[in-house]
Amino acid sequence: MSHHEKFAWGSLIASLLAWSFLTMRMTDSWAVVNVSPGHMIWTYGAVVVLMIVAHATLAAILDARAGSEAGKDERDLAIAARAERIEGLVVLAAVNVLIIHALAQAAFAGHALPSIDLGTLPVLFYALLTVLFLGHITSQLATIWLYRA
Amino acid sequence: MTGPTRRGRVSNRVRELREAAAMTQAELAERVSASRQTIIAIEAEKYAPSLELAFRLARCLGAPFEDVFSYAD
Repeated sequence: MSHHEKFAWGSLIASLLAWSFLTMRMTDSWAVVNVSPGHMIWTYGAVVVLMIVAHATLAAILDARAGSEAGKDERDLAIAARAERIEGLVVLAAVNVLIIHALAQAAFAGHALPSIDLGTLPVLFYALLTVLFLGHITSQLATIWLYRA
Repeated sequence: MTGPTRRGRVSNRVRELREAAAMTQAELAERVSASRQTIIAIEAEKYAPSLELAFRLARCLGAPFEDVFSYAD
């Protein structure tokens, strides 16, 4: 397994743990709870710090072990570019789902689709962060898949 | 086009020529400034190198470009 593949696995695990932490802080039985802005600011700060510390630690450990293999060559760059394109498409699709859902909810009140109340700040906060995590997790999964394909 | 390729479209004799030159994958990788994983992927024809890397490989293996790489329609 290459240095960059190991980093993608580490990043994937760190992202899933950080998203689990976010979910634990924001939901109760999979429903978003109405928390205070202070709670959300603290949660946001903690998630950002968690991600930075996890990725910096991961990079430091892997770079120390890899030595000259730590640099990216043209195949690594091509894989990173493809994974970023896939991430962009997933984020684009997820944001569009949220937009269409919000518009449908406003225009067709009482429809049969599952309801997400994007009008409340905690739900919007959780939905947007989840979209960002979804994009990053997809990018890491695509990276792992492309290295093995 | 550079990037992951459908097996068999861009074929190469990198493994054969490298082994003839008694070179390891790591040595070849170092000489052409690529990673060993990239050499493995090229030899398995899972990755088509850029023109620049392909020329560096041919030069390093001491063979004309067209003897190392071929493209099947």
